Amino acid sequence: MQEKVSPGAWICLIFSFISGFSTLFLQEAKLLEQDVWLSYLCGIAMSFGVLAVLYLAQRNYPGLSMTEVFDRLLGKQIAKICLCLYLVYILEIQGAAFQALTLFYRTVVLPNTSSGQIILLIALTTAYASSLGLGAIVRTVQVLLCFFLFFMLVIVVFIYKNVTINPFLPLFQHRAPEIAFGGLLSLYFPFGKSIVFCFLFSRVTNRKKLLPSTLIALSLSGLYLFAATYLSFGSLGMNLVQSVTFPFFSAIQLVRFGEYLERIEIMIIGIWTVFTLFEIIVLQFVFMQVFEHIFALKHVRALALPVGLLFFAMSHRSFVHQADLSFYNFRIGPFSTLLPTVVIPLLLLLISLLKRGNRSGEGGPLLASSDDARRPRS
Amino acid sequence: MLLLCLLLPLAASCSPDVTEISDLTLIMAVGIDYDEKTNRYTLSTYNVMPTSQSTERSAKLTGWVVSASGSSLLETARNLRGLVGNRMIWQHNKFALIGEEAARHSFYGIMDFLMRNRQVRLSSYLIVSEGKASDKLNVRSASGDLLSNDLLGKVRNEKEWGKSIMLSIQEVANWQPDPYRGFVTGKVGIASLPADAKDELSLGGGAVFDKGKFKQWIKGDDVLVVQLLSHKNRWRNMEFVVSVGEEADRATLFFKEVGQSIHTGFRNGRPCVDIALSFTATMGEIDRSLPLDNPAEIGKLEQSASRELERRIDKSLAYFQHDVRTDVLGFSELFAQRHPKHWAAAKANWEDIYPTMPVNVHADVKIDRLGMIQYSKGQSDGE
Repeated sequence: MQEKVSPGAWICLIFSFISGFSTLFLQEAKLLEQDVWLSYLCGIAMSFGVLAVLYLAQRNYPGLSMTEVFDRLLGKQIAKICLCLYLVYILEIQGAAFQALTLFYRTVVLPNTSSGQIILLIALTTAYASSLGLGAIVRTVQVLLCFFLFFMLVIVVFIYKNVTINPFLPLFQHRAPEIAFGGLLSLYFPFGKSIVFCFLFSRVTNRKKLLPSTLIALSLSGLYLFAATYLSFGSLGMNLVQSVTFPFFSAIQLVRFGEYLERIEIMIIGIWTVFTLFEIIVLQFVFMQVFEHIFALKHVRALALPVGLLFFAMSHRSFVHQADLSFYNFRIGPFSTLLPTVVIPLLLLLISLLKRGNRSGEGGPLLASSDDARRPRS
Repeated sequence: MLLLCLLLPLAASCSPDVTEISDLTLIMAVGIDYDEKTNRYTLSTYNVMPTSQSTERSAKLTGWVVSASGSSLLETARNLRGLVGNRMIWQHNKFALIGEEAARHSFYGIMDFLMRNRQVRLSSYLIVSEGKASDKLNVRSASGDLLSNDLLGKVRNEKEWGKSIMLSIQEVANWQPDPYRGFVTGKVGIASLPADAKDELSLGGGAVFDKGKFKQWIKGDDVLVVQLLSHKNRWRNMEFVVSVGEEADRATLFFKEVGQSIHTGFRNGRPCVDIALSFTATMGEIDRSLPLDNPAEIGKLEQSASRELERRIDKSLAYFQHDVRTDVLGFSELFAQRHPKHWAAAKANWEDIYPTMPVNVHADVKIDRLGMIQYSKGQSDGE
C-alpha cells in the first residue's frame, strides 16, 4: 500500500524541493537585477501552467499514476521513450545539483576534501533516504521545515537591518527579451524542476486541492526567493551581487548579533544543506519510480543503492570545472530541459484532448474515462 | 551494520580540513603595502594565539607581528608560513590596513585578494594608512591592550564624534567598481602622546577613493558631513559636538541627527539636490550665563545652531564638489535610482555636472535638553 500525501504536506514537500537550491547562485538576479521579480513571476506562472496541463491530462484517468497515463496516451513504446527523456532530465539536474552542492562546500567550508568524497557521501545519504519511501521523506520535511523557517526568519530580520535602500527601484529597466530570457532561466531553475512532481500526483489524498496546493507551494517558494534576492541586493549592493559566487550566503555572512557574535552562517549552512538534500532525495525517488515503470521492475527499494551510485558516477564526471556548471546553467540547461518541462506536457494535453474529442463523438468522455478508471492497474 | 553507522561520526576527524585549535594562530589585523618601484607587496599580520583559558587570563594575551614580501599578495601570504609555527587563519581578522601607496597603485588586486579568499570576512573594516601599513601594526597601544582590541574600541568611539569613518570590505567592494561615485573610508595614522612621547594609533579623517583607487585625504570635519549625509544606519546612533557662536559667547552642544531627506530633481534639465536635516541637541557647555529658562533665548540658540550646521555642511559639500571633485556621497546613485531616464542622458557628463550641480542644505535644530544644570532666572538677571 502506497502512502498518501495530504495537500498540506504536498505544499511543504514542493516548497522544500524548490527552495533548497534556489538561493544558491541567483543567476537570473545577476542578469535582471531589480527586475528579477518579473522573471520569478514568469517562472512560477509557466511552471504552474505546465503542472496544470499535466493534471488536466491525468484527470481523465483517476486512479492511474502519471507513468500509466503516459502509457495510455502515447502508447507503451513511445511512452517509454518519453519517460526515458525524463530519466535523462533528472540525471541532468541531479548532476548539476550534486556538483553545485559540492562546489559550495569545497569553496566555503571544506577546501581540502575531494569532490568525489563529498559526492559519494551525498549519494549514499540520498540513496538511503529515498529507499525509505515518500511517506518518510514527507514526514521528515514537515519536521525540519519548522527549524528551517525559524532560522531563516531570524536571519532575514537581521539581514534586513543592513538594507538601507529599496534595491528593487527603479522598476522596468530591462527590455522584454531580457525579461523573457530571465523567465526562461527561472523556468529551468528553480521553478520548472517541480515538473517531476507530476509523477507523484496520484499520491495526493485530496485531488481537488492538488492544483491550489501546488500553486500555493510555488508561490511560497517564489516569495522566499524574492525575499532572499531583495536582501542580497539590499545588504550587499547591486555591484557586489554581480561579483560574488553565492550572493545570499555572502549576505548571511554579514549578519552579526552585537559586536562579537558572528560567523553564525555555519549553522545556517547545516540546515540549508538538509534542504538541498531534499531536492536530491525527491529526484532520486521519482527517478526510481519512473525507472521501475519503464523496466517493469518489482522491488523498487532494491534500486536505491544502484541508482545512488549511478548518480555518483554521473555527477563525478560531469561539470568538472566551475565554469562548466555556470555555462550549463546559463546556456544549455534552459533550452535542453524544455523538452521534458514544456514540450512533452503540451503533447500529452493535446493527445488527451484529441482522445476526449473522439470519445465524445463516440458517446461521451465521462463514460470512457470511467471505464478506463475501472480497468485494473498494470 | 548499525554499529558501523554509529562509528561513522568519528570519521569526521579523518577529514583533511580538520584543524586542532592548539595548532592555530589567529590573524587579528593585516597590513598590506606595495612598492610601485619594485612591484612587490609586503604583507604584515598582527597575530594572537587562541586560548582555552579563562577570560581573565586571556586578557593577558600578547600579539606579535610578522611580515613577508612577494610579487603577488597570495604568494606573500604564503611566504608568511615560513615565519609562523602554527596554521594562520583569517576568520577572526577585523581590520585590513592598506598602505597609502598600495591604495593608490594596486587597490584592485588587493580587493580581489580580500574578496576571493574564503577566510576573509566581508564585514572586516578597510582602513587606509598614512604611510606604510606595516608600521601601524607595530605600534603598541598605550592601554596595553591588543592592538586589534584597541582599534575596535576606536571604531566604536566613531559614533561619539563622527570625525572618523569605517567602511567594511563589503561596502568598499560594492562601490569600488562604480564609475560615477566615490567613497570615503577610514584613515589611520600615528599620533604622539605628549605625556611619555609614546606613539599611538589614531583614527580620524578619511581616505577618498575615486574610480577604484585612493585619491586623497580629507579632514575630520568633512568626514562628519559624509556621516550626516549617509544612510540611516550610520547616523542613527551618532552623536557629535559643534560649537555655536563667537569666542567668549560660545555654546557647545551635543547633536543627534533625527531626520534626513535628500530630494533629487532636475531643474531646467539640470540635476539639483535639496537636503533637509533635522537634529536634536543637548546643551553641553556655555561660555557665559544665558537665561535658558526663556524660550525665546532657546529659539535664538536653535537658529544659530541650525545656521552653523548649514554653514559647515555647505562648506564640505563645496569642497567635495570643487576641490575633491568626487561624488563621495553617492548622489549619482540617487539620480540613477529615482530618475532613470534623466540619468541615462546625464551620466555621460556626470564629471562635469557634479562640480556645478546646485546642492541646497537646510538644517533644523531643536534643543530638547539642557543638561544637569540650568541657570536660574535670578542668576541670569544678577549678571
